[in-house]
Amino acid sequence: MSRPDAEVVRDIRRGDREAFAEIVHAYQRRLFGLALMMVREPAGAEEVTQDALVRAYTHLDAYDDSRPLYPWLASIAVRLAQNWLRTHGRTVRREGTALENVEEPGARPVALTSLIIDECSRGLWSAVAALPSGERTAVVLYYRDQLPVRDIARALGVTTGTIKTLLFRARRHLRERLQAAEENPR
Amino acid sequence: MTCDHVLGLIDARPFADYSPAQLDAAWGHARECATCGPALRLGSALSNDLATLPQPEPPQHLAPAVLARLARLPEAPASPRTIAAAPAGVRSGWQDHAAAAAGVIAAGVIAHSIALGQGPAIDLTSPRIGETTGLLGLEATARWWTTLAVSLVLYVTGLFLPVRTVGRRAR
Repeated sequence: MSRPDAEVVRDIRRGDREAFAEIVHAYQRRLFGLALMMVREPAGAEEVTQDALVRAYTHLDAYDDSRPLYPWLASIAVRLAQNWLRTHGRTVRREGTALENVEEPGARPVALTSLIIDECSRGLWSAVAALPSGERTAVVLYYRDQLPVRDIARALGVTTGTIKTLLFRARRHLRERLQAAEENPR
Repeated sequence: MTCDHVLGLIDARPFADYSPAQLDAAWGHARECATCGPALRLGSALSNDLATLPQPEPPQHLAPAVLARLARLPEAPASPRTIAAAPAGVRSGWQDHAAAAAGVIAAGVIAHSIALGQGPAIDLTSPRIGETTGLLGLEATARWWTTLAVSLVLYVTGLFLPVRTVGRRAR
């Protein structure tokens, strides 16, 4: 059984560098999934996840251990993914501002579905990956990672109202897309 | 309940958040509506499916790569970040007493000058507003401003001397 994060973090701060391996193994999958949903490129997602974990280690002094660890890790990963998109020529804007118009040339969400082992889930994953940047990030953090709206807002640096709006739009877009797919099956 | 109302409800929030009354009303409308029925069923399924959205497998070399990078770092991370407190004992003993005395003297000087009426004498009959009265007025004014300046210096000194610690936890 894995130890509580706070205990692991305490050990790392006492100088037990090896203890960070527990954090890496516990969160690498969630962080990679989040990064992949944001940058939509496996190599980029790997780079972002690696950098996020290394940065979390080197900045562990900034982590408030009275709060859950994952939202803090996610906020680092989100910032790095935004930087990655910026440096790799993808148009990225601050989350919550006219996100429907965000263009991300080169992104091929359908190709990424090969990373999803469960074939039944590929359709939904692909539909989420096709959403605008802010919406898909909000969906992953809210539904899959089960983070409260307040924590997502903190991670993305926006208000809770913006997150609710992003989730509202995401649900509407997903419902419309899936409904269209049901009515016009290939 | 209208179609707009039901479709708005579907998108507004996860289905788990609906009250039983809201769900009953929405399903009641959806049973008789060809547009809202499929939309409501899909919306309901969507909330459940999104909660189990699959997580792609990270590459197997990701964790070893991270740990190898950490191993190359020079030192372990620090404890929770704090700004160092000012060294204790830098301001103590006689300086605290001096600060208190400065405040008392400042208050005394101000009270004294007010009690003796040493403020600038204003000639209300002068055609120029605020003009002081002759040489005596000038001397009184200079004395008054000097007293005020000394009082202020003493007061400000008294304000800053007792500051001891500035430590705080940084976030």
